[in-house]
Amino acid sequence: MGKQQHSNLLQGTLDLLILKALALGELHGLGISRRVEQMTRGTFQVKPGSLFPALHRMEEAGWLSSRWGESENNRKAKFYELTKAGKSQLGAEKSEWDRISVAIQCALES
Amino acid sequence: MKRIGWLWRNLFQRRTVEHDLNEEIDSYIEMLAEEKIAAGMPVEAAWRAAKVELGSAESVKEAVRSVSAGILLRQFMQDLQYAIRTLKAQPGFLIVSVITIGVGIGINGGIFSILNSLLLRPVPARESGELVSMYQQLSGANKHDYIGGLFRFSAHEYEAYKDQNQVFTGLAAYHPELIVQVNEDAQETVGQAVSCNYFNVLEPVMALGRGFAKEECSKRNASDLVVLSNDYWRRAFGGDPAIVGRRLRMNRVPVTVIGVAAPGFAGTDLVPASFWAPLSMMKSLSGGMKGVDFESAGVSWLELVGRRRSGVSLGEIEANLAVIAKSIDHREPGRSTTLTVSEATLLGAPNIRKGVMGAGAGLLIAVGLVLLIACANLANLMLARSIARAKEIAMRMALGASRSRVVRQLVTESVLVAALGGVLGVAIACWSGAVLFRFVQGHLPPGAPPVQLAIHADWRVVGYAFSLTLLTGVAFGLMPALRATRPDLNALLKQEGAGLTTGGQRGGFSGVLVGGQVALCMVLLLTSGLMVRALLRAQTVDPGFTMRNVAVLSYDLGRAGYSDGQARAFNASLMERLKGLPGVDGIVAAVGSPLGDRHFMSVFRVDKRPEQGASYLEVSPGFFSLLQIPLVRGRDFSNADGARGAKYLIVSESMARTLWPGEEPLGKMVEYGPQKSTWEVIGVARDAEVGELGENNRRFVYLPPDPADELRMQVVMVHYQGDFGSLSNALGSTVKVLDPGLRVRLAKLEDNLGPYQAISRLTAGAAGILGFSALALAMTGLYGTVAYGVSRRTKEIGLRLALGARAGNVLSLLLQRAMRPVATGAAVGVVLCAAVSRVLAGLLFGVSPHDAVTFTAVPVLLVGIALLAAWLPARRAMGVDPAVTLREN
Repeated sequence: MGKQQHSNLLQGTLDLLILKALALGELHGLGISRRVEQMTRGTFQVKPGSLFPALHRMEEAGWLSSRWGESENNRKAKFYELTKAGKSQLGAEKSEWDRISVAIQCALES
Repeated sequence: MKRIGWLWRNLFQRRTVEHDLNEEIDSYIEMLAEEKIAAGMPVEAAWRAAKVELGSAESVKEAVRSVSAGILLRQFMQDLQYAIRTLKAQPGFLIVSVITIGVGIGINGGIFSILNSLLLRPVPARESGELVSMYQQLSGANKHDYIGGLFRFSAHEYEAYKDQNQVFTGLAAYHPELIVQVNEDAQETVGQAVSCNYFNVLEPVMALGRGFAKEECSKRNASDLVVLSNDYWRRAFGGDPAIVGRRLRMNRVPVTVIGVAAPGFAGTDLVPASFWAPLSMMKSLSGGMKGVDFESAGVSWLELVGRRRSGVSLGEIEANLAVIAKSIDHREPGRSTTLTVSEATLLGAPNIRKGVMGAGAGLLIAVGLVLLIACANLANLMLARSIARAKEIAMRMALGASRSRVVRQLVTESVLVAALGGVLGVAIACWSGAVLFRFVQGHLPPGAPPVQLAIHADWRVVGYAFSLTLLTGVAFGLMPALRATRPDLNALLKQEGAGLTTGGQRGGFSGVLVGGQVALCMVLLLTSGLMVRALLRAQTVDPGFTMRNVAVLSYDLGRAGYSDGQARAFNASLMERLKGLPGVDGIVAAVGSPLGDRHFMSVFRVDKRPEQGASYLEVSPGFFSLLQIPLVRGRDFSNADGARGAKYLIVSESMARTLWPGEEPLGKMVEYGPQKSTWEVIGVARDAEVGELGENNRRFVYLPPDPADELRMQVVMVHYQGDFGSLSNALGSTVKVLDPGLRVRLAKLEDNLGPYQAISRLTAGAAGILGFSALALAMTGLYGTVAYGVSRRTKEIGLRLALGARAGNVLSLLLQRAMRPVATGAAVGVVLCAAVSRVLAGLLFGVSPHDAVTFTAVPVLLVGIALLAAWLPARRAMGVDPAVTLREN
């Protein structure tokens, strides 16, 4: 993977990214990590040390549900999926993020 | 809720949860490795790289665990398991700690359970939470008689509150001290005079018959009826089922029994009532108080208890009653009433409540101090253990456990010890209250009221013991835990045992513990010292009058049904006969004896100046010479004065100084009595403690007997020569001749000191026990600290000795170090006690709260014992053989 360009994940952004990553369908841990990387064009890399606590926290909060399944290589893997609450949480976090980014944009342009 | 499901899963399906987590991480690594292999990496290298990328699998798992639900609870469970394991390995420590805490909490809880029964628990009655008692405090009121307490109400006031309030479904009044002779019983029986609605308000269940009906106690058609308590009915009448309708004689007045209360109800007072009679019978049953006009607005004698309407708060009751109080005040210029309203408890009267609360709080504080000293010992033990476990603690912290996590774990351990102690404590508290109370009752003087109190532990007692347990656990666990987990622990470890002179950090902390223990111990010991001095004084007191060779004969003719005229004839012939007895050389009749159980208070006014309250006694001529109280000015009363009906009085020196500072008191006029008549001062007596022992207030007034109220004369003092035994026989048979059925009491005047001695014996005993347990605990702590210090410094001491230090020097160095916190603690204790000992003044019978003897002897004793406690272990250090220690090194 060579040289890594890493940005610190903003507080609260991780949840949003994970929710967004799962919006298209269920994924396992590594899949989520890769999807986030791909979505952010390599800007964000989610390390297992923050990924797994976040997944478990969000699952306990009722935003995600999980099941054991088979990976593309027939490995046993735990798959995560958005729940109904997770979908509405994604909407809420998205509009909150829009609000903040507009505000920051305004601040920088003024 | 979903959360609960997760909590449940995380706590109780731990194995599945952990298994899942492991699988998840494993599959992550596998997939990562496969990804790398697919990208062309060799298998070995791919696996290694994947593992490196993951980092520590354990810390990822820990991070997951720390965000999952119930983490705190789970950690607590872990701590608990760990604590149990640790404690199991040290049974000695566990047993000592549990017993110490258990006994401490048990005695604390026991005392609390007594106070709880007296002050907090509602009276035993139906729906007792609805019962409200009220008391009043008056200023500027035109009252001339308070019977049984300054907080009571007159019949007028009762009627006003009863008829005008909107907050009670009923308001009852009662007089709790109706003492009568039933039939020809030798024993007196205590009952209550109660308003007619009493049984409607308190609603006791009746075992037989009924309570009073409304019309049975109005003045016009008063009938002589009584209701008996269940206990008395069984005791005196063997539970006779045909008791209702039976006629009894009370104070020789015939009465009819109309009912018997069910077991468990004996009124709302501390002294259980054996019977209840209507208020209208007060006059005929009150014996010597026959002359009192109970209907008068100037006589306060009733206690009030009401049942509140549902949903009415105490505040609303207070507001409503205050309006009525205002309208009563309005009718009497200058009068103002302050009402106290509270849920009815066995001890309601505000002054007694305050006294009991004060004494109780003092006792709880004292016992609490002993518990605190014990806690300090345990803290010291914990500290020593945590130092011994320093390596383990350092390891845990090095492995990344946060300080708060380690502290929490250590405190869990101490709270667990405390909790075990607490369980033992609650068990002890459940019976120690009753045992203590019975002990105290057993040591009260014979004349004390027959108080009955059911003491049992309820939720308040258990709650109190529980919070005390928690507090104890944190108190003795937290400080050592914080100390043991200090960030500079490593530095501390290196320093440990470094030297006698460069004081180890631990020495500093345990020094504070020892100093604190000594200070608390000093306070307790000084207190008990003062109490012992008070006891000695009560034993050898000179009250200012002679008590030797004076016998006191007391009787209540009113109770025996005498009229005023009959009483006068009886008294006259009794005096005549007594004079003729061999060995008798002086006789004086009076309303009461000095320091006796009858107290008389009234107000005296000079000119238009504010009224002056003082105790008084009505005495016949000859009183002063019989008791050898010198008259410093003027003269004694004479029989001729009495015959003329002259209004003369004699005052004590203090009273004279108060009323006429710097003036000649003889011939001055004083206004006194219900009729506000004017009395002339004819004599001044030397101050003596006639009213109360140990009071600083010696203002006292002597009055001649009231010729219109012969029934008040209930005491004859007889000065005799020779043997009391033969005199008492002669006195007894003399009375028998005049009235064979009359109940008389015969005692020496010295016996009046009994109650005072009993009080100081009890307080001195309690203070002594507490003081010496505190001393024992504190000295054990000191001994332990010094012994521990010595054992840690054996090497260094050996080295010093080997290098030529003299044993004496090393010993004195050790002692100096040990005694420094003791001296500081002792000084703090003395100052602390001197600052608060004034609150004991009422129990000291005139011994100064800063009594020089106590304040010298106790510190000397304490410091001496401390020196011994430090010397014993320090001396062992001198037995160190330099050769052995050096070789060991």
